[in-house]
Amino acid sequence: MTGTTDARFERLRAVAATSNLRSPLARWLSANHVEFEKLLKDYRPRWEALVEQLGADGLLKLPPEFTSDDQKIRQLTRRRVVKAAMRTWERVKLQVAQKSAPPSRPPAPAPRGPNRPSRSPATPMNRHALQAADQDDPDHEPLPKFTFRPTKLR
Amino acid sequence: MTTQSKKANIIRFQTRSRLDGEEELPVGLPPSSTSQLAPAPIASAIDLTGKPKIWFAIGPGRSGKTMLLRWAAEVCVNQGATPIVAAADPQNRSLKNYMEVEEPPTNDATATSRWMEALLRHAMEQKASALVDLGGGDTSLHKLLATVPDLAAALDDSGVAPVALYTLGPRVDDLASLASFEAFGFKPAATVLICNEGLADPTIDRDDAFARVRRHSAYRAAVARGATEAWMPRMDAAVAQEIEAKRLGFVQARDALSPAGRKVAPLGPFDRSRVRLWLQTMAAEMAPIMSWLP
Repeated sequence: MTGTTDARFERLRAVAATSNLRSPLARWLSANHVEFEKLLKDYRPRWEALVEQLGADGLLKLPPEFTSDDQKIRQLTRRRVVKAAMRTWERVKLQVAQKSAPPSRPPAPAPRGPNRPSRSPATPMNRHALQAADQDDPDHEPLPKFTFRPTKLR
Repeated sequence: MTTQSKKANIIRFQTRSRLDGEEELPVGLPPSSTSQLAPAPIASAIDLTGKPKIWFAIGPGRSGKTMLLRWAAEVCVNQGATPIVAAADPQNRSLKNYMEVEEPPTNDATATSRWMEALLRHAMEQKASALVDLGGGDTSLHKLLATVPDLAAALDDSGVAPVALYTLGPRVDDLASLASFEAFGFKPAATVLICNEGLADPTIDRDDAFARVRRHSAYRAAVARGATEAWMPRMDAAVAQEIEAKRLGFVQARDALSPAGRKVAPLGPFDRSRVRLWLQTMAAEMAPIMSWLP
């Protein structure tokens, strides 16, 4: 009984630590990342099958086109959903790694304004930051500050 | 001598009376296949008057997106509207030659996607309108849709009307963006498929030139779900090139005006007339979607 409560508490703590993740899938993956990583390592499953099951479990909202009769539309949709799910997983892994690692150096700055150089240096840190930005939950990462002004004809 | 004295026998030759009642034959050339005269506008599309709008100009490179947005921005500004004009196209950002344009800070697709998201959020919060040139090589909207598949609905819910504009040439491959965005679920109620006559063979009737595109299942499916069809009239290539070379707005070109702070030799009178006709035809062709302008 105590064991069960502890396990629940562990899961709750994992959820609380990442409660700023909005999507149910991201939260579930955070809470179960160890088991999920093991599952991937042990079985090397097809992500499409995983996504289908995650959708059936209500952790992912599968669009109607996921089962479209049109093969092209179905393939495109499946590829898109699988990619989104994989990105969510990558993001969760990144967060878990960041949480467990000791604080080292400050994160790379996000792009700020139009005067920024055309391409930021491709350090691993930057790439991670960009990958993290491109996840299933756009509300999660604070967006860089941009200003948008109405146009004027020249 | 005898002949000289003889009076000439002149026959009066009149045919006028014989022509009375004769059927008139048609004269002149038949109408040109790509007549500049605008046909009667098709039925009006949905009415978006009074709503802030986000225009997503989508299509392959050199299909007329920038020209369309230049026209739209000019019409908006001349009507007193002040939309944001944004160029997300990583390859071609020629819009900024004609107006002040917001651009992503880098060419990186992911950063551009983030910038696009910030722009849309700004529009949703401020109820601002925007014209977005997505460009032929752009992937930012794809990236955004991969994570926000209900983008169109989210914009609609916030009171901002998304407008998808697909510029098309006569090649079937030009439908690729339409097919993929529709498959992604990006199906704003305000969608217009714009066949750019300037990309078709001028000697072929426009309906024939675009027949293959317009009977393609991707095109027909979009029309069946409510997309509006429109034609973008051809502008004489030499005139278009001169306007671009001089960095002129269409109204400036028509009225022989120079942009503020610059002295530009005006177009010749015939070319100005061509621009006038193009603007008139454009207004007639776009009449069904005029309420979609910011």
